[in-house]
Amino acid sequence: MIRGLWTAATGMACQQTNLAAIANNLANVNTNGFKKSRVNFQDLMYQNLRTPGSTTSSGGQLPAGIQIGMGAKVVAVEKVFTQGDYTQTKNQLDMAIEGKGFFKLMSNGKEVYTRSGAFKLDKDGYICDSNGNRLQPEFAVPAKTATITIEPGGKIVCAGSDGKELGSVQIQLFNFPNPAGLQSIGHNLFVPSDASGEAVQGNPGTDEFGTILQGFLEMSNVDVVEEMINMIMTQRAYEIGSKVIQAGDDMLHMASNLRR
Amino acid sequence: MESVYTIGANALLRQEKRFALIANNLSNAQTVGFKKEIPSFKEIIRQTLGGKIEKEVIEEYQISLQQGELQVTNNDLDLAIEGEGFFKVNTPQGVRYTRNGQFRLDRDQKLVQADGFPVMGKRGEIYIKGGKVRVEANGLIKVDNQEVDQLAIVTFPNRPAFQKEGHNLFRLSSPQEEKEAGKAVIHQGFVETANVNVIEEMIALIDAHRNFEAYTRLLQANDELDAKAANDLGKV
Repeated sequence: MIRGLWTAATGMACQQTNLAAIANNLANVNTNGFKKSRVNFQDLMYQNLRTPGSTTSSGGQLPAGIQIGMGAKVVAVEKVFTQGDYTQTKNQLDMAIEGKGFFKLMSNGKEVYTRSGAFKLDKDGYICDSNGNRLQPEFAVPAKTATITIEPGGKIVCAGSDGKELGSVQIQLFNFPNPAGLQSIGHNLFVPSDASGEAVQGNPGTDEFGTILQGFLEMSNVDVVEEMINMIMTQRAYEIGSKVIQAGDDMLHMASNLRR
Repeated sequence: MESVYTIGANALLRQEKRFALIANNLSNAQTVGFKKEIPSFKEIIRQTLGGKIEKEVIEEYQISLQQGELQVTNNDLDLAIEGEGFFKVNTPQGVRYTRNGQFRLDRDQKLVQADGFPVMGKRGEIYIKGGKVRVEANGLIKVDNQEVDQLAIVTFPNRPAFQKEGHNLFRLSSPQEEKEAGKAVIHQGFVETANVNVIEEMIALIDAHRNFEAYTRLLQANDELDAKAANDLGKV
């Protein structure tokens, strides 16, 4: 009935998605290893009422035509893999990755990846995350271990109270050609998708892989101030959309009242 | 002379289109790299073959290529152009141009835009294999300090007749030779926000709204006059 109404509605729908992403970012501001999401927008298709370069009835050429846009859409909600800040925990099984890479875990026989290095021991002494998913390669800390040392290169060394080495393992890190294409499955975990590409394996500190920092955790990379500003902008953009719809409704009302 | 009804109806349709345009500009106020459209109405006085003088109103929408603000994101694959010029994108339908520099890598580590269409460098598609990406002000891409390629930033000798395609892409509506944009400066870790000024658009919205109202009044007044002529003139 009147073109602009739906156009304004598409803008409001975009802002709704944006707000959902901001809410999730803010809710996870204290989640270790959490990576924020960002919503990307695009303009929708255009209706060509007159193409540029067409001739007018008086024979002149139009330098510009008339195209009416149909609004905006969400094209992607992508994860932003910037480095989060570190927090010191002094917990000897806490690991932070300084640089690129993910830890690999086994969750019900499925390979999953995480940046959250808050590890614990399960009842059999294996290193695992808070949900009991074991870190790969699987390693059971020997029973009489007094200290665990994790080298920046990813070697975990367990020693007894007399300082004698009881066992050690080399952790591997994994990276993806396109980390933004990883799929989040909750619990701080990611699984590869067609868009992310195949996992590349490597030792910490080699090639593009980051090093391991023992006794630290990587916090979320959510910047509260940035998110709050985004939230204000989103709310106002939503409000403006609703104002446009009101104006459109008013114009429709006037048009319908032409015949009295 | 045109009847008041024709004048009024044309004016109403013009305002309705203008309203749609404002709605689109406002809907895209948060779309990175979006360029607003500005409506303009020109009156042309011309003489017909019969010697009659006629007036023609020509409306056109121009894409405003005015610079948008640069917003920091600290994302290495976010690029913004300051000044004249466009990124070149290769789509299955042909070459397209964009100011949206929110790029990423696909599974082959090729630099692509949001729809997965490759961004063109001077040597073709750009592959970024390795760790740290640096993009210099002239578009030179270095991966781990190794030069990989230079972004193709192009402009046109004449003001380009662009058609928007959605997806933040522009298409040339008449073929034109492209040339290198010498003055463009690339900023890494920034995006160019839409050049939509919300205040301007809200004022335009009020204007379109009130103009629409005025023309409906004109039509109603004319209708009343006609009603008088039809019903009251003959009465004694």
